[in-house]
Amino acid sequence: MEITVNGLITEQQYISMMMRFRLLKTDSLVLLSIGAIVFAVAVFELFFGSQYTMGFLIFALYLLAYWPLRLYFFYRKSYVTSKALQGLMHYTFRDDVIATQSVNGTGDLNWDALDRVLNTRNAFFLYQNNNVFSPVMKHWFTPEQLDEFVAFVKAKEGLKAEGF
Amino acid sequence: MEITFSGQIYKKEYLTIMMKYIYTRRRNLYWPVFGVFCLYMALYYKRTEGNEVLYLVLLGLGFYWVAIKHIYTYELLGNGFDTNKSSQSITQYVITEEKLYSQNQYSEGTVNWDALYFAINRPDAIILYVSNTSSFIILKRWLTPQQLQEFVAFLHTKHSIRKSGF
Repeated sequence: MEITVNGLITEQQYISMMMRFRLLKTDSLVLLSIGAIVFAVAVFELFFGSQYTMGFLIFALYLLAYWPLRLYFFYRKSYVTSKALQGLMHYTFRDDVIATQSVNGTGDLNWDALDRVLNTRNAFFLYQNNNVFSPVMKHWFTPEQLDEFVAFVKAKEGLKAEGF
Repeated sequence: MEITFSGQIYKKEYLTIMMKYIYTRRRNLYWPVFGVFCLYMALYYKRTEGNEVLYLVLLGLGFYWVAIKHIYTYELLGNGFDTNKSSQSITQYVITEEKLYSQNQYSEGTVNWDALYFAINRPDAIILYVSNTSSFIILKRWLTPQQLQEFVAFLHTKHSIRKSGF
């Protein structure tokens, strides 16, 4: 197998993709759900003129606004500080390695080095560890390349494939 | 110039370096300060029999900033190390005027010096950031004193890289 793809990710694309991905994870959903419940309680308390309204409201705003804002600024900084993300990225997927080329330099990564590959709506995330990953956009692939890549990842022994 | 060295980083070393670095950053010093302030205010509300919800909120925030945040950061770093096979293996580095070359059993690659955005000189290591989430940690014990001197002098000449501790 040899699949070569290349493309660019804009700042807006990157931030919206990452925000959507991160906010749909379980911990974010739990946090935002608690925020929504607390906000509902605050509104209920406000209706009855309770002394607790302000406490509930502050807590709800903290939960509902702090986390998304923090994620937004974190991903914006990730994009701005990474010259590789801002430039044209080339990936060549072979049976044994993933060859990459960007404005930063070049690299060969064995498939064994990957912790897992995650399939999302717009991109594949190649995780090198729990926190560091490379996004490969799906629109960089032709439909045939996409099918071949998905089949390869599914069949690859020892590789954790999520969302496939 | 060509500096060649190799080495392996252990989990304990990695966690010590990263946690120490995190707590020398000024904004992170606000975590416990903010946490203690929240706990103090919670205690104040409790004593004055003030708003009970506000007391609980402040108590929760205080515990988060004083304890939970630190445990979470430690666990996040440890988990990142455990799941990264590449950083656990012996890596060879070659530093030249143009690029940094690294190779281990899982990967090999070159990074242009222009790609780095931040370099930090710590007592035990030099951390080279490629982005705010990705970095190379070069332990000083991997280099001879002459190599280290040469490497630090070389980094001084790279004006495009933001530096701290040099």
